[in-house]
Amino acid sequence: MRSIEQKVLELVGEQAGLDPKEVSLNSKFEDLNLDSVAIVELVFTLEETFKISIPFEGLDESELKRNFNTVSSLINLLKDLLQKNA
Amino acid sequence: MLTLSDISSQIGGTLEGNPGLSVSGPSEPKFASKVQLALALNDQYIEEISLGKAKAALFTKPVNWRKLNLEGAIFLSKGKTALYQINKLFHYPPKGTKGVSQKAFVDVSAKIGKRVNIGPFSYVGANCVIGDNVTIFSNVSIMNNVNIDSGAILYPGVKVLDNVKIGKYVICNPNSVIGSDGFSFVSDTGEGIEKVMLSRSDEVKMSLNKYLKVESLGSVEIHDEVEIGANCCIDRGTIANTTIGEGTKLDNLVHIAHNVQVGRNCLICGQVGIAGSAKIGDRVVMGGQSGVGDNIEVGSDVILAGKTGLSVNAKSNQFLMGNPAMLKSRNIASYMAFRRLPQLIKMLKK
Repeated sequence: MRSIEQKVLELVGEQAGLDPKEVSLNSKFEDLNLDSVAIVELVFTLEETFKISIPFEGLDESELKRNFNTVSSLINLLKDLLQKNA
Repeated sequence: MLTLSDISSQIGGTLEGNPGLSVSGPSEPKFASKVQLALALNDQYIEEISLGKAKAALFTKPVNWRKLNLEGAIFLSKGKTALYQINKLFHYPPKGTKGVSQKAFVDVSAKIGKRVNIGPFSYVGANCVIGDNVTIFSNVSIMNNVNIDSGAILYPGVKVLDNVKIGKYVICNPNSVIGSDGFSFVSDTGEGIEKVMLSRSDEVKMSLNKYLKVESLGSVEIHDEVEIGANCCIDRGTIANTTIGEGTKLDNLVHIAHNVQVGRNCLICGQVGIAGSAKIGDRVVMGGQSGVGDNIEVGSDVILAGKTGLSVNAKSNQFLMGNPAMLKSRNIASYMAFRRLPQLIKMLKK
């Protein structure tokens, strides 16, 4: 599980144009200047990286904010999905 | 040079440390010299203070500045306007010729206000009225009957054509053109593009010998405190004037076509194009390279994301994105669906 966290921090850092060291589990996407389009890109990168499908029906702004408020909330969702797929 | 005490009192900040320390201007913390004020406006900049040489910094949140090897610190609670306040304090407008240059041409019928500066090789045509405190830099061409109100600044290379009205404190950056002819033509047969557009057909058949120019009899009105970026073009109206409302700001390379009406306090970013006779409401923000089609009406408080293409009317209070433009949330949902298409096709094939 530790490596998932590291990988996500790395991918979030890449999307935000930051060094992964500057991204923490408590980082908020708003503070990282990741807008909704950037988060969509991040979602697809995560899907490709972890070979999963993140289930969203008509993803909208409020859904994005609800599900992806902080990096740790994103990691929790990923862990759930990976467990279901295992 | 200003002392920390001067700066702090003028921007309404709280000063700690050496009040007499002088600085020459603001700087990004890691590039700051010993005589510059490090602007530590976020956590990253606070961390980067140690990479520069600043002895003083401006913060927008409580920080133990003594640990950062500084001699003084200014704290400002209104973080979002900090940059505005500091830069205003240190901004010295470019100096042009004082008075009217002997190398400028000013028509004898032009009325020139008090404390007007006109740089060399500039031209002011017949019956122009130039208000008090207007600064016209070098190589500016102002044609006939132009009215420029007080405090306006026209940077080098600006062209203002006949009958244009420019309001108070308007700033026009280099090489912009205000009052060029509108792009308005009709085919001599009536069988050109105008007929194709009416037919709504995919088939295109045109028959014409030439396009006839519809002369632009209107002009341009730029209202007070508008700022026009470099290399913008604002075309004159066909009958009435093209207008830009009070407080609106145009970035570089913006094209405003004939008859367009832009409301108040709009922000129009680089490479935006607004086609003929479009009406834009108040406080509209148009992202870079967005475009509005001809005769389209946009309400107030509308945001167009970068590259948005608007070809239908847009009501007020909405954030639009994409081409064709749609609500931002719908655009993102559509994009998500689009990105999933390969996966869906794969599933269908199975």
